[in-house]
Amino acid sequence: MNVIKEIVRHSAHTAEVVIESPSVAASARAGHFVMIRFSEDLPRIPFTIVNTDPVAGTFTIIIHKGAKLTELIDSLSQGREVPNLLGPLGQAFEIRNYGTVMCIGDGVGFVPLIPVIRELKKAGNRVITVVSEFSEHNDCLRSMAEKYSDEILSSSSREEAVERLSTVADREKVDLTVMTGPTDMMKMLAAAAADRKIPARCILNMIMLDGVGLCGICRVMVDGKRKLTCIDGPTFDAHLVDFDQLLNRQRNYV
Amino acid sequence: MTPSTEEYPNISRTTPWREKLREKMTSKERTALPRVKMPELDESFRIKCDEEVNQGLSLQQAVLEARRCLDCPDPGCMKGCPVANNIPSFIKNIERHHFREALDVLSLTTVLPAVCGRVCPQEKQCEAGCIYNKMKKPPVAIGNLERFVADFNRELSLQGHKEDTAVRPVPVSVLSSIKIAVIGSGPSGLAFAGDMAKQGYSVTVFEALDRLGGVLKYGIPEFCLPKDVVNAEIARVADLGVKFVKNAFVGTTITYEELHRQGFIGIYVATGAGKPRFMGIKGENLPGVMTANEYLIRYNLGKSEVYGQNAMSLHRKKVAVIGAGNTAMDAVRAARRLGAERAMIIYRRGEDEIPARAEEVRHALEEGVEFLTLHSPVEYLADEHGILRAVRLQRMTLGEPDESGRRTPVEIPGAIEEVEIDLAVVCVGYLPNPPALTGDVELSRKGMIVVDSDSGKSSTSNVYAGGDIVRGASTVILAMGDGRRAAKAMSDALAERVKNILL
Repeated sequence: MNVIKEIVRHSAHTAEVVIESPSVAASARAGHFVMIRFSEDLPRIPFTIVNTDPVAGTFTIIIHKGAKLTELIDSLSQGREVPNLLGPLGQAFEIRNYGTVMCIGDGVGFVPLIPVIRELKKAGNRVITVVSEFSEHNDCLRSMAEKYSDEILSSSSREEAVERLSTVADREKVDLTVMTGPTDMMKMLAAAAADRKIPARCILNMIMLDGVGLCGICRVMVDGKRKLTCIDGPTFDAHLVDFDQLLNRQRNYV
Repeated sequence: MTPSTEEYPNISRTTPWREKLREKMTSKERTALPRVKMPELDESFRIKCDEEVNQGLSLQQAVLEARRCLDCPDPGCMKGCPVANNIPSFIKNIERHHFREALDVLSLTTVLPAVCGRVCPQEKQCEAGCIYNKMKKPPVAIGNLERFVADFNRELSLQGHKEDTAVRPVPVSVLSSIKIAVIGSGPSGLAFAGDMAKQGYSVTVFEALDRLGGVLKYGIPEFCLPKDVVNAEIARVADLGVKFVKNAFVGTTITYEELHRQGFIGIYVATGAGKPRFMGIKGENLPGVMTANEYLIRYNLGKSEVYGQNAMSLHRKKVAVIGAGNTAMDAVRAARRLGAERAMIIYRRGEDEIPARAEEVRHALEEGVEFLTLHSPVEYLADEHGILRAVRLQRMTLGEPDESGRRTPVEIPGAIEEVEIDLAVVCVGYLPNPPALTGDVELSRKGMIVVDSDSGKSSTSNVYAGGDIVRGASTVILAMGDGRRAAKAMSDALAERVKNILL
């Protein structure tokens, strides 16, 4: 049985939840996610696996109130059983030494970047991270990113996030950009990266019912081919994703 | 697969009670009886709720219908049953009011009688082989009777009469130490698990999702197959000693190597075909175009399934369902229940080619579903806000028969029409479920598992497969037949090994 081992409430908006699951802890890699139903009357929700502790047999997720999960955070307690948990799912992020990597995220959407930042740093990359404007809401996220970033920048808007990318790219060679967050921001960042011929990965944040390829809600066109975020993603080559179509479709769900 | 009469003398046609029963009425008297009509909810009532449409035969109706069966010496009905149910035997037990024994007979060959009595295409299988067809009379209502037996006994046990002798754990034997894994808890996996458990093997079913039953839960709506009925039949499989593990996605969250490490020596893969196909036409990713899976999972499992407050409502006024299989009928009938004023089936072939069960098509028509046959979607159109507003349809005509024997639809040049819709549900077939097996199991080009059709054996030793992962999208009953065949083949192979060890 999967049990909540620990809840760290970082702010009124953010909680880190440590869940016991030796199998997830043993096999999860950066980029993987889990589907969790915290109680029978709640939906199954995909969460990024932020960290694992294979020795303790636990893994960590981060829950944000911003993602309409206010009641969920309040209802959780240590020692409670998690009735339904499936993972790790999805394709792992390809971790290797790319050189200099810029990781850019925003708000709620920043969470999927955290394990990637950490693993990229461990693999020897120079990591430059851009977080949305500092506030108590994302303080904990920033400090997690800071730990593994060679440099940390902030931006207060989507346009500023693009500016940060340009500024750094003007200053030094960037070998890869990794982006998460709102789809329109990823679209702008991908375009900016493409202008400068910098490879780009996006980690998509999509609604899904089952997480195993059945419902088709998380479908996205990548290089003209239909892909499922749950099975083929959630990481894709940002230069090949049809963001316009995605933005149009996502109006139905988010 | 067919139980022998030596082993089960009770099912023999020549037992004294049965011979006596046959003499009670002449064939002429029997064939003069009209087929009993299944009581159904009125259409104006049923489209306002998700109550089951077919209400089931009463005890008297079932006995009356059972009298029609002539108890033929060479029953044609049995040849049409993919799981080899002993049909005359269970029907004659109904006629003599031995309803529990009727269930015992069915339980020899099927773990899902209440399900199959509801969702099997009987008109193409058992009932197609009934002698009445030769007399130009409606066949014995075998499906309705099967359902009656299962429902009657389930009701009895709900009233506290626990006499379900067909289901009991098998005594511990040398086979109890042999661990068998079943991947997928849909009809094929359940049929396999039931047969193996009855022989004494230690069987564990792994299910990726958090509800058991596969398509029986996620695909087929309450108004065709109530969830309680499915749960009761799964509970009977569990009573045989089968263990169930939910949230275990074999191949992804548990590897096959891990199963081997845990000591599972035989594996039956019944993961199904649930990955939705698309037609690849323009506009398929517009808001307002969804897969039948999304539509039916959300309809079947309720609101809690969708995370996000603004998830597009399923309550739409003009709904087009693309395709005409059973799933498409389920979706379009769900649309009526969700308040659609126009609920349309759009199908590129003609009425005669509709693959869905005849009863489902009739129910859909009664419920006000429109059938746009010989129409094929070519494009979905958006309004100025980028939201689905219409579908463009190409009119078709029927040409020569193709290899499936169905006449090929051919475009009528220039015959294009536009139909306004606010929801399109795409239901044009399914692909095998991801992920493919790891290791060396041979797959077809389409990603289906290649097996020997008699045994269900894959290219890897001790790995068998059946159901939709082998056939592509098919029916519950064919999936169950695969499960039974594979169970027979696997247990024969294992018994041989056990014998060698014991010698």
